[in-house]
Amino acid sequence: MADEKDKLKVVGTRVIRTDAFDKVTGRTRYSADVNAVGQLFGSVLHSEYPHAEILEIDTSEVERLEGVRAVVTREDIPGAKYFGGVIPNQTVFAVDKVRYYGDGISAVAADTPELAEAAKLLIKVKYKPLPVLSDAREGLRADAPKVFPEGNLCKHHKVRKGNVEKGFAEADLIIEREYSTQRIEHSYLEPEAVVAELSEDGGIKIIGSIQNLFSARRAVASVLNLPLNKVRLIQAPLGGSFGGKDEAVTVLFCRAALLAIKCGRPIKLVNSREDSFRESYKRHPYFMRYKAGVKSDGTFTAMEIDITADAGAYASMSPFVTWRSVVQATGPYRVPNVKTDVRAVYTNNNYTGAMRGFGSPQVNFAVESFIDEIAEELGINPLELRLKNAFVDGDITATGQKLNHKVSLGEALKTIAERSDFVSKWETSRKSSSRDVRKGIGISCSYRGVSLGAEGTDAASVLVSIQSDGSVIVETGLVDMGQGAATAISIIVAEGLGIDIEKIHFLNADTSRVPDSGPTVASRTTIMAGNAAKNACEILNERIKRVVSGEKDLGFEEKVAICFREGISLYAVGHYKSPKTTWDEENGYGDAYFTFVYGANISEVEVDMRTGKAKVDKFYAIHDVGRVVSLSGAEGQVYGGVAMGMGYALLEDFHQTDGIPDFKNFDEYLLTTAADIPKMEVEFLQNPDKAGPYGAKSLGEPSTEIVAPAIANAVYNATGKRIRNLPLTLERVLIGRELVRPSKRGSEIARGEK
Amino acid sequence: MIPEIEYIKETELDLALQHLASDKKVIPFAGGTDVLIELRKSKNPFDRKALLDVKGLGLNDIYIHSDTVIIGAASTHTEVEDNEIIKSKLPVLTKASSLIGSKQIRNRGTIGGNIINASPCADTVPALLLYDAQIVIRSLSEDRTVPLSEFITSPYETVLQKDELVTEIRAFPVAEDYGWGYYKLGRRGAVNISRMTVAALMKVDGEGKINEIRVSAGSVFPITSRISDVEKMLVGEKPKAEIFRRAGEIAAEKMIETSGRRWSTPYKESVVKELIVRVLNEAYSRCKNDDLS
Amino acid sequence: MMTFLDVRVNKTRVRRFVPAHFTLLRFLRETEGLTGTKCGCEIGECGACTVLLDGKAVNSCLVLAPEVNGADIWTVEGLAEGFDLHPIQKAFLDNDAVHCGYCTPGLLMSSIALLNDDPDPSEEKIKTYIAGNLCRCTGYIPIINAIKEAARILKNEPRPLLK
Ligand SMILES: Cc1cc2nc3c(=O)[nH]c(=O)nc-3n(C[C@H](O)[C@H](O)[C@H](O)COP(=O)(O)OP(=O)(O)OC[C@H]3O[C@@H](n4cnc5c(N)ncnc54)[C@H](O)[C@@H]3O)c2cc1C
Ligand code: FES
Ligand code: FES
Repeated sequence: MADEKDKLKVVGTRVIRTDAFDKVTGRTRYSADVNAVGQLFGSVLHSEYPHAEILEIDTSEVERLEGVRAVVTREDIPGAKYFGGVIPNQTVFAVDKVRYYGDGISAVAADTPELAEAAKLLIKVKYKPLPVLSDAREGLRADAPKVFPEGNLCKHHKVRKGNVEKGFAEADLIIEREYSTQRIEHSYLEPEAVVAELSEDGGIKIIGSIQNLFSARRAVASVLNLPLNKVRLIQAPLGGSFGGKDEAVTVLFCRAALLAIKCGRPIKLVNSREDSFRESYKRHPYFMRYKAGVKSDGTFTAMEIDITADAGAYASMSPFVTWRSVVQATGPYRVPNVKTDVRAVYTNNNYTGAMRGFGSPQVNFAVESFIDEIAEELGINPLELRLKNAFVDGDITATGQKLNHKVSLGEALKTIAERSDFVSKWETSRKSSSRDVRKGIGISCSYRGVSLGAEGTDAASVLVSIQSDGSVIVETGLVDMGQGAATAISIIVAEGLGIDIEKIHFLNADTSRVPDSGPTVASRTTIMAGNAAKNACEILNERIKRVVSGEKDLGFEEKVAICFREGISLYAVGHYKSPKTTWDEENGYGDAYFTFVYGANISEVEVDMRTGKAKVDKFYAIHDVGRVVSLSGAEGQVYGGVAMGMGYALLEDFHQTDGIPDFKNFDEYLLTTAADIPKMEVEFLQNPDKAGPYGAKSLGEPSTEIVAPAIANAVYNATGKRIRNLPLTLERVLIGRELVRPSKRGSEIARGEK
Repeated sequence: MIPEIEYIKETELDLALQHLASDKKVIPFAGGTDVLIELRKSKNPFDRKALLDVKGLGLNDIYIHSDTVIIGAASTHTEVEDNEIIKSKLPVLTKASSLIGSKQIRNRGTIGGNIINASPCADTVPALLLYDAQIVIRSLSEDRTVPLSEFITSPYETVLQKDELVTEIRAFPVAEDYGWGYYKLGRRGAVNISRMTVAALMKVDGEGKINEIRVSAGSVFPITSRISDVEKMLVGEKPKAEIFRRAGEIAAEKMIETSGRRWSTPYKESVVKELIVRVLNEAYSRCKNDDLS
Repeated sequence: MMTFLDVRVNKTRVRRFVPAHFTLLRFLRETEGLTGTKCGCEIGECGACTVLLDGKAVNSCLVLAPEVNGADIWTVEGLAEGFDLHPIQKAFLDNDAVHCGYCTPGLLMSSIALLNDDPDPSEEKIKTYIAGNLCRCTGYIPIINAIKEAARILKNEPRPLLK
């Protein structure tokens, strides 16, 4: 396909994002910017306890208040009381009990938002507080408080390959370590917002900041007891999502709809940042035990991994997130004998779900730190140990899958190491004995299954409609959440039809106009919607060719005009279904994903040895994306992914004390600012994949999933201190453990750290 | 969301003071960067508060009067940061102001509000303590001046009465041959609530001995204050690494003596030592003394 | 309580009664329908609500509407003239500094405040001026590049930053 690259006109170039003009002029209407005539304002009353039975809800006082138009509770739900894409156990309004501090009890609609917010405080709720389960590691004990009557195990995944006992017996060295990662907040800059109104057809129309329109529609329809065709959901432009605007917004859709039905007026429901922090789901905290057997030459004989993931109060995407973890837990390395167990356990913490990376940042932090620790034990440098074990073409993964595509991991590692002068910097830094400031360098790498894999059926559709003047409208159910999907799909259509990208107009998704294309997750948009878009273009090109084949040298507009005159429809639905994947749940193996991407990161840090402050000085990233679709977009994804990964590595920790979040807003929950950003060097490898449109695979998630271990390894290189728990705060770097304010249960809890 | 309020603005100080003297609860505010945030958290939104805007009262002049620098209480951090008099006479304050919050916050937040809010991590306080700052307070009945060191009585509490306004801050510059140091430790590159802040002024005499020294620390003690034990120890000593380390140790001992061993002590103990050393080194490096060198 | 406001918003004089507890942010969005200015935290931490108040960048979520009586306010809507973009907007487009775009209006206003104060800012200074504007998408690098480019362009063809 090397020569195909030279033929590409739009793919791989720098283009201006299709939606950027409206965004720089302030004209883009995000959900909170939408107003409906006659709208009222909603506000949600949250639980006062992380775990309690609800004995009584008294709304009489608030109902009497002037300006209050409706109050809804569990009593007002006509249909299903529980929703959820995988395991429907999440409530719209608490039914019999609350399971976390962000559970909604009731919602109020009033003439003004400030009245709605004040009025809800007049609702009287009687609770019977229950013991709180705040540590997932305690969740499977017989005496643990039960979040659900069936018990606290949400999902158990396993991978089995070979015989680990035998593998350990063959090893020259056995090494065991424990790692943990923290809960973090997506921190999309736009808090969730929706506007719901009754529509003329006896149904409901809701516009909102939703990422997965179709799963939200299923939930709304079942809660309201309406057929799907009466529930019309429209996606407003998203002010960021990163996996976060799924159930957290679905719940708002349902609540706003219930209020709208009750008072017959449009309802606007906008989360404050505090509401958003309190109620939205987060990235799963993981507790991970790794044990490896290695030969003294550095080859692995076995790996045994045991992971507990904190699922929080509801299932959400936990079963899928933890599945990706179980598949990728051993990292991109040849290990002949593997035994991996991942258990997602319910607790009374915020529920956890999809977030950029989707179960990989946690295991990557562990395995990539672990590799460095093993290298240290063996006296081999970490690059060499990686290269020795890294997958090459035709290798078999931990799940028994043969990698029958171009595996570029070795190339990625070698290129980035050379570019950053890794080995010599690494050698120099380890010898530093400065007591003030030390430099360090760290490396990490990964492989990542593309798209959903055996997690679910993977198919998408794209509508391409050529107008009589040659301009084009594109629509799909996969959404742009700021990651540039609209631009990427537009590029593919421009390439496919052989026209300029300016000719293309990409519409936001609307469930009543486009077919269900599954969720916008797992960095699947480029590959899925891209292929579907390419398919639509092929259908259209074929039709055009049939009509104008004899006539040479016609421009696109002229060809289109002829088709219109001839009565040929230039509207096509492109469809794509991903290649087959398999999974044997019982025995823990299968061809998990139809293809994989590879990448490596290197971080240079400077550590203040006396305050524990670690600063990232320079960052290198290399990713094989199959084919770059939008060059600027791809670079942007990496810059953003690195910044987010730096937050994960150094700053962010959505800690909860006995179920209650320690943080309410961005004053305490710290994100990276412009002043924290290092110089970055980004490079792409392009090994086109036969499954991808023009060979393109994915990038959104790989860009953030190995940042933290690169930084942690660099800090080790500088300080000689291994930190196995994220984030690397001032305290951890200086004294090796985190300090937290005393909780009710003890005076100084060091979070179970060793 | 900010609940309903009453908004009051006056251009005459006496009229403003009359509102404060009335029976009604009136909250003065300047930049509002603390007040509005508190108001938004209000547990009882139906209890309507009255806010008195002090920005129209002309309290944002910065000038020198017989060797005293007078800073209007409602001067914003940006006004302080950019002011030439302060740059030359009170450089530690320039530095402190420049590190507060973000540009947007510095454009609104005021020096008066910062002091009166009395947070243990208020960044201008350690700087102002070095210059023996005094707080000028007015009510309808009385004018009084209180040293900053006595103004804050406990975290978030001051001697200010309900009917009083702070009109200005007076600071007393030191001679040009003093060196200074300031260190604010935060978790990220900018927009930090201080984890700890240490500031120092130092003068070295002809024999190369510390002639005068002032050291203050924020977020170390419940109330931001000078560390007199450290100052006493340093006077008359030659500035040397081991002396500075000893100073750091005294500060850490003092911290534990005042607050006891708390959950944060394992970290703060060694870091406060270090920050003291850094700031003393910085101050010493800026000491101008022709006899030395 | 309602108060009377007489202000200029993007050159246009506006006289209105507004609730005294409205922030400048709510006044712009809800009374004036200028929804380009965004709300991300309401406590001065995210910068999405940044506007120019008498030429200075402020968090409009931390300013009460009655405080701005008599003032001159600029929002993102005041930058372009029809389809004709301001150089800073153009630089954001050309440098791919706009991803989800939620931080963009605030960052544009902070950038203008910066270029007003210093037409030739160093990278350090750029970071100082935009550190109060959080962006979760771009990693800031494209934004910093955009500001540098805008500065270059404006140096070659000087013009008042706001007409
Ligand atoms: C995002 C953000 C970042 C911040 N970062 C920092 C930081 O880095 N360092 C730091 O120290 N602070 C920081 N702050 C806190 C705050 O901005 C400062 O304390 C600021 O100086 C307060 O000034 P103000 O004028 O806004 O106070 P206001 O909110 O107006 O008032 C504060 C207090 O002072 C009283 N008051 C104000 N003026 C008078 C007067 N003249 N007479 C009597 N009483 C008066 C008020 O009643 C109130 O009690 C930050 C705040 C935010 C929102
Ligand atoms: S909304 Fe004003 S700073 Fe975040
Ligand atoms: S572009 Fe999304 S927050 Fe900046």
